[in-house]
Amino acid sequence: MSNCRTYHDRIAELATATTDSISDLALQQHLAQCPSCRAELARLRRAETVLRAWPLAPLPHDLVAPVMARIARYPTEPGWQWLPWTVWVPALAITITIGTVLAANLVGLKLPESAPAALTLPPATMPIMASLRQPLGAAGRDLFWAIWFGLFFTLAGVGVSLGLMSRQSQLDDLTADLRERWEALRETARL
Amino acid sequence: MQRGTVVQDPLDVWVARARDGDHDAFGEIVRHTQTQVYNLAYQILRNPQEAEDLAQVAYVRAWRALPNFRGDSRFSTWLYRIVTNTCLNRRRQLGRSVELGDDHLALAADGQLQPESSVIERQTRRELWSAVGELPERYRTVLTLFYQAQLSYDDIAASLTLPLGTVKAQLSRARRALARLLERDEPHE
Repeated sequence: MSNCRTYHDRIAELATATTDSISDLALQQHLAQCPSCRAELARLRRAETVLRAWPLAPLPHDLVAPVMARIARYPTEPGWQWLPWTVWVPALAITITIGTVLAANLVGLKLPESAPAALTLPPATMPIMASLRQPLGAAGRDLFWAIWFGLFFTLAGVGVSLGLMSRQSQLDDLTADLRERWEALRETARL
Repeated sequence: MQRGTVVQDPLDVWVARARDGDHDAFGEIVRHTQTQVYNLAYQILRNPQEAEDLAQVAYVRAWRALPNFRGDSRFSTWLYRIVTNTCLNRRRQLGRSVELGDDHLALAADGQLQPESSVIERQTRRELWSAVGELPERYRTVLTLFYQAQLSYDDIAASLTLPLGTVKAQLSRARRALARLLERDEPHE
């Protein structure tokens, strides 16, 4: 019948209910005149009865001893602990990098006008120092920012990848969760 | 067990001790949950050896992660989530080749029946195991969590990290698919 789909969910609910009585009058009338929905209800009720008596299969072997032997090899991780160096070293480097860039550009950090008097450099190094004190040209500015961004992204990448490596098990969980959600979305889209 | 009500998890005392590193308490947890954990692992993997091995792996992961268990959900829900993820990862590595054709658990469960169990009862249970084996893995998983592990819809959603509506829809479709398979397998006179 064309309107059977209207009762689809209600029949499924009725099949899992503990009582046989049908309080929904419209559903009751529909079932009285629709043999296919009556058959569906009977099928679902039978499946429900069998599932409610579904026994747990016995274990082939007790798992306690092998599990305890395995965990004896792993010490318990405390709830709070220092981050491993693979995380905090890159994180510290990134923080310093960002801090330096911000200090140089927002606060207006300036290089000293001249080197301290006590610091007398050999004549061979003077041209280099002189060029460093010159205002940066357009090409120099680009180079400056390229170096900073390069340093920033390299260190950030190293930090993130090392952090993820040390959290592989959580990453596996996350990946599995995302796959499940994707499957659920596809399922919903198919309906 | 009544579904949908908040009840004190009987494992809580052992969980609290195990979080402090008590191996014996964790042993008790394993003893009281291993059958359900094994059945869940089996329904995902359909291979008794793999299920046994992965159940052990899941317990080791649970032990290591236990200090991070904050008690936001029931311990059993949290444990089943670890089991499910561990088994699903393994299944993705191995593909369907991991599944065995014969239903070993059906035979094992048969052995549990009382000698006076009727032929019809044995036949029905064999049909159930066989039909469940034909369902997609996600349907088998929700059916196992609902009917065997006796989890509520909310707990299943938390275990599988799926929306509640998706869990209800999957269960409904799983029941419907199973009902058709059972009807197909019914002996015709």
